[in-house]
Amino acid sequence: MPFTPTLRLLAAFAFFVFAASAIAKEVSLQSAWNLAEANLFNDSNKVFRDLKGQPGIDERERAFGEAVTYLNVQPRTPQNIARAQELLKTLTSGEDMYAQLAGFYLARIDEDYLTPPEPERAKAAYLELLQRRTGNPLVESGAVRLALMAELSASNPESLREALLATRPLAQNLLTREGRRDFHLNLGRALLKAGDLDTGLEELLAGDAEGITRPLSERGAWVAIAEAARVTDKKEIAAKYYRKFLEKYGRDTRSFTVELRLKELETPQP
Amino acid sequence: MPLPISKTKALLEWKLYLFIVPSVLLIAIFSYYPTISAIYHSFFMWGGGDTKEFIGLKNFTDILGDKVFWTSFITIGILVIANVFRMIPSIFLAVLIHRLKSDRWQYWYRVMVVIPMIVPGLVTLFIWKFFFDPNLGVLNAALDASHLKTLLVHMDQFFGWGVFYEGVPTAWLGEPALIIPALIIWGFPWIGAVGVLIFLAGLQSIGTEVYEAADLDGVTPFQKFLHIELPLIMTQVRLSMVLMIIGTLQGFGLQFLLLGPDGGAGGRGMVPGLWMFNRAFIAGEFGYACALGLFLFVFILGLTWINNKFVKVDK
Amino acid sequence: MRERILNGIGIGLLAVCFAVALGRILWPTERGSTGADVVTIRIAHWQLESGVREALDAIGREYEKLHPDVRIQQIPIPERIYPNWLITQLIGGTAPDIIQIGIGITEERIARFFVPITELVELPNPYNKGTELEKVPMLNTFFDGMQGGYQENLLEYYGVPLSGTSIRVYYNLGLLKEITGSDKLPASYREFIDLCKATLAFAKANNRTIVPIAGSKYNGPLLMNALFASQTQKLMDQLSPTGTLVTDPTLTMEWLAQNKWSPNSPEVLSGLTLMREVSEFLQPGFMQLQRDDATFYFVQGRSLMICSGSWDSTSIRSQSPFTVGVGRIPFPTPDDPEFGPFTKGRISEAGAVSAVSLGLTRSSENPAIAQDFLLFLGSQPANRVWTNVSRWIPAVVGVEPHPDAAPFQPLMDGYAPGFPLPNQPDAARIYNTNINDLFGPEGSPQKFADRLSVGYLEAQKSDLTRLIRSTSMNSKRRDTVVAALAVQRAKDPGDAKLDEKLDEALQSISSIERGYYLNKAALRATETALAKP
Repeated sequence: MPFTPTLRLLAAFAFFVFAASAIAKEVSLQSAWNLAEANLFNDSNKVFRDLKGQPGIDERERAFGEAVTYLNVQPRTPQNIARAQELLKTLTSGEDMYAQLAGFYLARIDEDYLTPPEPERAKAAYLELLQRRTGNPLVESGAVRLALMAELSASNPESLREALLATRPLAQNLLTREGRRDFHLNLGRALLKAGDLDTGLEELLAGDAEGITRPLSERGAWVAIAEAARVTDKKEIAAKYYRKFLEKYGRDTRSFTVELRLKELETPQP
Repeated sequence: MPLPISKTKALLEWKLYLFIVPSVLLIAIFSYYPTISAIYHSFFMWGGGDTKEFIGLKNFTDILGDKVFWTSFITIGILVIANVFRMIPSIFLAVLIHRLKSDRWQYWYRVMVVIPMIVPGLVTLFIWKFFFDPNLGVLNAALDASHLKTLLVHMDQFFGWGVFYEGVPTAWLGEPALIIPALIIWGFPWIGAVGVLIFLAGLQSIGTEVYEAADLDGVTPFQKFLHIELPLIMTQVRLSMVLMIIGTLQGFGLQFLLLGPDGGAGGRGMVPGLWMFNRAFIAGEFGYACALGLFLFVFILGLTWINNKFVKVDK
Repeated sequence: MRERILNGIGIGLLAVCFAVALGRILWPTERGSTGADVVTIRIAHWQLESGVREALDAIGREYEKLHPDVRIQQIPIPERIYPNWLITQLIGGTAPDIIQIGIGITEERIARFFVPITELVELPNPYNKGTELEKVPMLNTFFDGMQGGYQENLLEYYGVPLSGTSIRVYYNLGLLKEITGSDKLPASYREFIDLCKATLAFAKANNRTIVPIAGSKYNGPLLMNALFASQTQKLMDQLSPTGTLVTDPTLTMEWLAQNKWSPNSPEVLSGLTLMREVSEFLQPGFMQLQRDDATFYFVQGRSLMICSGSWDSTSIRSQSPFTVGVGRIPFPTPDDPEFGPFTKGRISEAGAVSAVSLGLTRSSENPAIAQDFLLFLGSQPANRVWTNVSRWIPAVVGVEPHPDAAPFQPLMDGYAPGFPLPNQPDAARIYNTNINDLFGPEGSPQKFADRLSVGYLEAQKSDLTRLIRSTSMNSKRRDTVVAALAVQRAKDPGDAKLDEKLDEALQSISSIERGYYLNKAALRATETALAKP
């Protein structure tokens, strides 16, 4: 077949398209993490894979990045999850941050990514990681998960209360402010729901003491503390938290009710 | 019939094939790609965005337990049967036009049947929606003016329907019991331009000698229709019926516009296509909607095959 | 010969049309063009209501006075086709510089196609210079802390909102005076019902076709659902004595499964009775009508009232040949003989979130200028122009609403609303397809409640299954993001911004996980309830 001008034109067009798709992009671990942070998981995963074997790259960091992005590469398939598991398993030996995070994400995969999930294996893994006292806030968020799983496991109010109280000692393993705060707040909420107002209030107060920075969480927590304190007749705590709420979150659907509650508390009883 | 050409010649003249590339591309992009994409996505839990999770056949097993989907086939079955009867006015009008002695008048009647086609179907639907308005609509006004409403009220009291009350405007699209009648009534007098033209084309292929022979035998006009015209246009009738069944089974625009995505009062207007839309755009279950669509496609394909295999026309 | 000429004309016309269409696509002259030293910034939205386009034009002209080398061009798109138009533009890379965020877009697409502006809004807005907000971080200059522009699941601000919103009852004051002799609006629920009855009597006596309230499947529920929520206020307190004083849809569903409330609970039946009582004053068959039908009814003087949002204010006023009055929805008070026992009182509007959120697209050819215009849009001076021209509620603190918008200012003096009936997709379908059993001669609250009792649990099961899936997907997406933040923070421990982001992410995940497990608990309770004979 003669190589006619038409064919040459078509070939040039095809080459242009191919070349255009291979535009040079910044390829570095930082850029890969930036992409992951921006929810661009497919792009991030590709960069992590492209960095494999490159000189000067921390291979453990790279492998970890590839693994966690596999969890969200689209479409999410059992094969990608399996790839993530394989990579994470290679990282668990050692005591560095990547070993800890790899253990955490293996537990996450057991908890929520497998069909069917493996909650018992996940629980054991979270517990083991907590007992290591890593001081890593992300790893310590496993305590929140353990409390939530305990809440779900109970089938009646009494066993629910017991299951939740059994998780309280986990707080001793939490070295970070974030870890303690989130654990106390979640446990507190769960205990209030289970009807144990006194212990629930203690936990919420402990969580608040660590410092809640997210406004949506803070206002909810303050109202829950104030209400629990009011119902359990701890008037000073209730009044304090109603006041705090009104000062900081005056514009809220609950403000009117909170004002009324505060007035009731501040009105001397006959 | 074009003569076949040799492979060598075909390869030498390869540039000619470039002429069909635009059409093939367009069909591939706008017809085949969406279909393949729908088949692909039916195996995923997909919310319509970029995030999807492979779940194998779960969407298809969920269809088996989907009561709303299976119940919607009852509604669509009723509508298909109603639509078969709604073909009759078109056939009747085609016969009337065909029997006109004057060619000029035949032409003008054909034009008058075709002119309404320029009004988009959507506009017609909105006009009918207005007809059904309980307070301002023409239908209720006509029933009141003709005192048919009073008759309906008496019948309601006798049969216990609970939908027609004296002095209370009838909510044609707001009462469960009236939804299906409303879906059947719409489009009255049910004369579709395309149907009339198809049947007319069939009738005009009947030779005059057949009519002459019938006249000699003293056949009445109705007998002519029953024994000559109808049998000889059965191919067209069958074609129309197949297109109508496919269109009715797939369609949901009518129900969506008149009743909303939930199928109206009591969900009585829910049809498979509308349920597919509901799952996709109301529940956000696009993967499941794709699976429903695939199921519907296989169902319609099966019906078409049965129709082709078993509905024979004797000429 | 004649045929050749006609064919030539036909082909010629086709060729010309094709060339023009091709030219429009290949050379869109308005797309961020920099011809003649003028940069055009395009802004797209779906708010076709009266006043909005004029307001944005006015703001654009103000900006152009400050920046003569910039031209602001508006692209209003009908709401019905907005989602399709939006996705086509975003994926095609031809999107305008600034786009309204809200309908027809998923979070993944927001993350992919829009620029996060969190860092920008944490600083004071330079266009607030000379005002009392000069040194205030931009996000705190909005009445709700710029919640309307925040994407909860992405942990970033993506949009600058322009307006507040509220729901009100509009009155035809001329007709009101004809009926009652005064243009005083009803102050209580009983006065409201008496007015409705007086309207019917007036219509009958004068042989006129007037209904008290113009309804449609959009307007009717706005009024009725608000009234319903007044009847479950005390019930909510009882069900959750140490809750956070706001409704939680998942807890509502769990309580339903545990039979702590049901459609036959006295409070719910009272709410349904309230809805039915009001529905008798809407035109028959209103649930089959559209929003425009109801508006049409009202502006034509066929109804005394209509319930709608502040966003319809300018449209209604401009189309009405009469003076329009605006009043709050009249909730029953605790001393009401029939509906008082279950209510705490009027409902607060303090929870309203800002709306008309405009975001910056990544495909903007002039991102710096577009970003600057976005800052201008969110400034106090621009918001003043917004309220004065559109007559909509302002979003920026310290801006006095236009007198027409003043009645719509959200009112804080009220209690938190009670919980609504479950409104996830399948529960809403049960509600919508059976609501005719509440209205009309054959309808009753009990009949409707019985229908809901049959269908709700099954619908709830499928809704919760869907919710669990979506919270799980949300949580999984966060897994990778928080891993990225954790690693980066470990590598750069002194970065306060990363600290903040990681902290926010951890709190957010904790909240999502709690929601996920609560959904699972509710589903388990629902399945247990369904398994009972």
